[in-house]
Amino acid sequence: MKRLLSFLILSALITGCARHVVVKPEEVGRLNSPDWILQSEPKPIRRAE
Amino acid sequence: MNLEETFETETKRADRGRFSMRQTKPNRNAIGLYHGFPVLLSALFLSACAITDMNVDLPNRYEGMQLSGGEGREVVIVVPFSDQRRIKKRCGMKKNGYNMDTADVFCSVPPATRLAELLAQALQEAGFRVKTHGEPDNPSGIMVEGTLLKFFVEPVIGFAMGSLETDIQVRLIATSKNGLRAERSFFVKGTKSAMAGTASNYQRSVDQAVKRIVQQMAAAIISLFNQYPQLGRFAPATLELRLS
Repeated sequence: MKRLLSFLILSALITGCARHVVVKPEEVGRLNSPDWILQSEPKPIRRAE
Repeated sequence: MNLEETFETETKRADRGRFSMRQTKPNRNAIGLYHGFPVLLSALFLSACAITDMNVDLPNRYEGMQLSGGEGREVVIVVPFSDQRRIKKRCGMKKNGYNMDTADVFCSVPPATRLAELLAQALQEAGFRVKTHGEPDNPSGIMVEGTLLKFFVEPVIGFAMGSLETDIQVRLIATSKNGLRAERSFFVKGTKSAMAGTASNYQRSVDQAVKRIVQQMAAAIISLFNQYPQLGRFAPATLELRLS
């Protein structure tokens, strides 16, 4: 019982300290722009005379 | 003591010895090793996959993008994208059952190059006139420059099951000589639920994410062109001049 408890605590500690590089699925939406962010619009092109 | 007596004494001594052997407590270490050996062997077999590096392929073509609306408009996709990933030396990692980083996953080709090529290809299939270097031939042509911010695949181990997740983040900046400047960020996640982190599961997760981001980027560029229908088209007057 004591051994099992130690094992579980150790596993939880190791798992808790694990490093994740990928983000959580719920964060994906935040990192995606829903649309283009316009800094300047195109000017109409003047037709050649 | 004659021979018979000697034999009898030796037999009794041997029996006592055998008896004492039976009475001896079993060697716990030996039994532990005996029972633990198959477990150790299985663990070694299972973990062997997690401690060796592997490669994931980035195919040079994806079928079935089903995009349209290019109408011969001109776009320049600068190949390759700029690579500004935080982790550049590898494309992912393998983990053991305790969620610990045990091995590297490498990309068969630089992802910044392959993603730009796939985007150019998708737009070409959608009917655009695509260049992969230089400047647009006409002032309203759009130039798209991309920056790869993330490309990483790793197993995410859950309580009962795990999944292989691939994150890809790209920022696109579209500019034109007639003043357009627009920016957009794309972030996708490819997920493949799996019991084991096999090479094919890693590949499926990467494929899903790559296909998804290429589709999203191409669709966004088409929507930008549709927002400003004059973009990328040769002006009628220019055509007239060229014809005459």
